[in-house]
Amino acid sequence: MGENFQMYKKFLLIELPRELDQYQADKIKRECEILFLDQWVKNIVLDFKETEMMDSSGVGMIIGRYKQVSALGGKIYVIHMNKVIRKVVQISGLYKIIKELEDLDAAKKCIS
Amino acid sequence: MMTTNQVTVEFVSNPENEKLARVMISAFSTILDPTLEEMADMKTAVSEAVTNAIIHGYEKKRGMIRMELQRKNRTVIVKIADKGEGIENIEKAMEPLFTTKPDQERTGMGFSFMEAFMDELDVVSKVGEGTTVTMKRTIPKREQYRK
Repeated sequence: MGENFQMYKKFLLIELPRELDQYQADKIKRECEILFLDQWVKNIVLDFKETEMMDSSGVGMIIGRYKQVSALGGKIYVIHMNKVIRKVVQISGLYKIIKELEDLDAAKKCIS
Repeated sequence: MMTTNQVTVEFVSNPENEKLARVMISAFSTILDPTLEEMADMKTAVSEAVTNAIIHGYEKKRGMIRMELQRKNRTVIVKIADKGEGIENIEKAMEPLFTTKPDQERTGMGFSFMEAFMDELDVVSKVGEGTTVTMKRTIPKREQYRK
């Protein structure tokens, strides 16, 4: 499991890179595919605290993970989005399939 | 209008170079003192254009991508050109959510993002010869003490 991945009881936390482009999105997708083979992942929390840029490849990667977890009745949660990332989430329509939470503590409380 | 500054770079169609392209536009535009948001917009648009050249233009092959940066007063003009496959139907390709590669988690949002994040977008393409994307963005002068 990559160093930016952490398994919690109820969710997988992914700390996203500074720039979420095609290169980084592919890397996360591959790591998820390996992890999903032997771990039961129902919910994913994406932490944007380090992320300063995301393009449509990043959006595609998030939609791909959404398809995987929603098939299991799970959800995608996001924390620490800045203004720039929020704009991309708005324009892409991604906000319709993700739920924003304040921080990791909120995620621990609210995800069951 | 006379060109104030111009830089051209060429790089191979390796996804690693998307970052390089973003650093290029960022360094080139710094003199205009853009806001963080304006800078992120331009970087995202460039990222989309270079991704398209790599994924669609050259697919699994390797080829060269030419990035031309121009500045006319406060307008940044960026041209991304490949000599790849070209686009058969530009109108269709520019439709939101249209993609030829849905299986690879491509969203079909590339051109929409370029349009949303830049002031102007122009796409010229010929099948078998390649694609050139030209984008413009004007960075307004900021008041010295504006917050």
